[in-house]
This record gives sequence, C-alpha cells and structure tokens, in this order.
Amino acid sequence: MEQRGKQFHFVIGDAASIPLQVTPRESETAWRAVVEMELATPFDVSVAPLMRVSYLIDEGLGEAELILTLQHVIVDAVSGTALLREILTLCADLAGGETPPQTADLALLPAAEHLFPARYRGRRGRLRCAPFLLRQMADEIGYRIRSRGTRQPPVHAAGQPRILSLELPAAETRTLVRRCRKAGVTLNSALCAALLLTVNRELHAGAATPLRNFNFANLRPYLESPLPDGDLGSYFAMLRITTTVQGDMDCWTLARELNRTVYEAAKRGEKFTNLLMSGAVIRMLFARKSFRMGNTALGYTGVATLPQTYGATRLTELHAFISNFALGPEYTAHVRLFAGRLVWDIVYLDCDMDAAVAEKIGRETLGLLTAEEA
Amino acid sequence: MSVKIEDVIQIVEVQLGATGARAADRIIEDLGAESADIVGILAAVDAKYSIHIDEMELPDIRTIADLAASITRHTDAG
Repeated sequence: MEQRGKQFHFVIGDAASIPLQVTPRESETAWRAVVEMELATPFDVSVAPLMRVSYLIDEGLGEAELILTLQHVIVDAVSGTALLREILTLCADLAGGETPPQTADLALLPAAEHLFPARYRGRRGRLRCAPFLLRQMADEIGYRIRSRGTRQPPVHAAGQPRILSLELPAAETRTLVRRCRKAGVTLNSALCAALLLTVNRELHAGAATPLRNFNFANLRPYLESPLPDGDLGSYFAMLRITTTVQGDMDCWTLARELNRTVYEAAKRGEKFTNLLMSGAVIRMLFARKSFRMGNTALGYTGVATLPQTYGATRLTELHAFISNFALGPEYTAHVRLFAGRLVWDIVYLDCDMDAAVAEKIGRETLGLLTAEEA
Repeated sequence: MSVKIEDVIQIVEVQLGATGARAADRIIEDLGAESADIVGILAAVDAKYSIHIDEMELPDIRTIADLAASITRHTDAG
C-alpha cells in the first residue's frame, strides 16, 4: 500500500512471490506456536505481499496444517474462506495430475465506501456522520465518568499474543441455536453477552462495570451492488457497544439488551457511518498511545461454507485468529460454525491474563450458554 | 405439504415491516434484513410450521423462494 496524504491506496506491484515456510510437524499442537509467532509479527503494509504461508507436514501420518497469515486490509472472513477453498481445490487438482486453469490478473476492487448506498456516500454520507459522532462522544464521556478508577490500563507493548481454541459439539451447538431463536437473539449477541459476563466475573470481580465490546458487520450484502463472497477484499465494519455489566446479571437478559442495541445501530446505518469515521478515529486514538478501545471483541462469521473433502485431502479443522489486540480488547474471539460444531478461537495477551484464566473465561462463557434452563 | 409462497412472503414482510416483497427477492441484499431480522423470520417460520431450520442451512437460503423450499423440505420430512 502507498500513503498519499492521509489516505492509503492499494498498489499492484510486480508479481511478488508469497513466502512459504515448510517445516516438519513435530506434534499435533506444534501449529499453535507458529500461529502465536505469526500474530506477534505485524506486516509492513508498504511491502508486498501482505500474506505469508506456513505448512507443517508429517508425511508419515499424512497429516498437515496449512497456516495462512493475511493482513486484514486485503481479506475479510468471507473472502478468507473463499481463498482457502480455492487453494485447497487447486492443491487437489495438482495432486490429481490436473493442470490448473490459467487465471487472469485480478483487478483491484473498489473501497467499501465507494460502494455504499447513495445516502451514505459523499456529502450526504458525511452529514449522516454528525449524529454518529455525537453519540460516540456522549458514549466516550459517559464511559470515562462511569469507569473512573476501574478502567483497565493501556495495552502493554511487551505483551505477547496467546491463542486458545474451544468448541461445542454439534448436538450442543444445535441446542444453543434453538435457545437463541427462542430468546429472539442472534448467536452473536448470545456469545457476546456470555463473554462480557465471564470477563466481568474473572477480570473485574463481578462489580458493576461499563464494558466495551466490538461487534463486526459484514458489509458485502449491503453494498451497491452486493459483492460476491469470492471477491477477495476487506468489507466489514466494527460497532463498539458500551454496556454496564454486573457479574450476577442474567445472561439471556444481557443478550437481549445487546441484540436490541446492535440492531438499532445497524438500522441507523452505523455500519456505514462507523466505517466512514474509523480512519480518523483510529488515527486519533493511536496518536494518544495510551488507550484501550475495548474489553472484548467477538466476530461471529456464521457458517463456514467450505467442503471438507478435496480429492484425497480431508479438511478436519478450521481456525481463525485475529490480531486486533493492538486496539486493546482483553479478550478477542473469532467464532464460526464448521461441520456443525461451534468453533471458538481466542486471542489474548499474556500480560493481561495467564493461560488458566483465559481458558476459564472461554469454558465459562460456553458453560453459561449451554447450562440447563431453570 | 405444499407451502404457500404468499404465506412466507407475509412472514418476511411482517418481520421487516416491508410491503411488496416478491419470491425472488434476496432477504438480505434486496430487503435489507439484518441478522436479528433473520432470527425473527426463522422463529416465526419454526412456530408457524412446527419445524426447525438449522443454522447450517442458512447459506443456502438467500431468497424468499429458497426459504419456502426449505420449509417444504422440512414439512415433507416431518
């Protein structure tokens, strides 16, 4: 990418080869250390390519892990899944002796804001940002007053990212989905509520605390014209919601409150105005060098539409970890449904909590959602 | 069991507060439904037809006609 003034622009450079590191797979869990190292190694966005690949292989067992490290600016969760499907299909074709089709050079896709509905573009779009900015300022002031003395300190530069993966078996996942539908909330809202509650209990001693959660919105279907999932790009927006949480709250009551707040924000078009303002807001916050934008971030990306079989290759697990800890969430989770199971991938910093606490939060979150109804 | 497309259109319209929806309309792209609206639509469908459309089926349900076809499959199977 190139910076021109305050704007960054994509540049198609010379065909840069993608770094590929092939290493022996020494254990079933060796990939975790590779992922943690990758998360701790940011990209320089001025240097192509914004992608690197590791491949851990145990030829004796015929088992391997393919680890794609991608800068979020080029790929979102939707197109990341499409990219993985394309790579696995290509590998199966090559292994089967087929010649892969010659593909044309890809054109750069327009930035999301150029594809917004007309009422969110140009001058009209900027005018719509004013009420959003006022709501954000009111939220910030209220948050600072209510969290005085209890706010988490800024992110430590010395913190190392750690990962954790948990999952719900298919039967429990089906029960959870039914329970969400009965409660009239999205799975995302239920997960966020349970996570906020357990973070409050474990990291804030259950005291009434204003906590900030990032929600994520997939913009692709709402653009003019809607973008197909296969087009590689980054078309998502973040919604930051502040909620006062107390350890003894009912999880489903909190889920309904979050559901309503997120729904109202989405209906107000904040997925567009938030993205229009995000560059300026993030520049301002990073300039202060002492902030923590949120407590939790949870991206639920729905069903991962990936076949599990590619020729002789079988895809058995799918994980995704987000390195947005630089923005300050104490606990970041990326959640999806894969093969009927709910897969819950977590990132945290070792300066915020140790592995036992991180796992306790993850397990208690899932436990809250799957507990027998009273 | 044959599902009347008009009934499915009505469920979607009531949830979205919309009028004039057609079977070929995409529920998110054309009608602007949010995730919470989808939950509401599916809850209404589950209740009206005494079925449960699984989350794993959602990627294949883009239009109102897709939803009607899914309901038909479930009611036939049930």
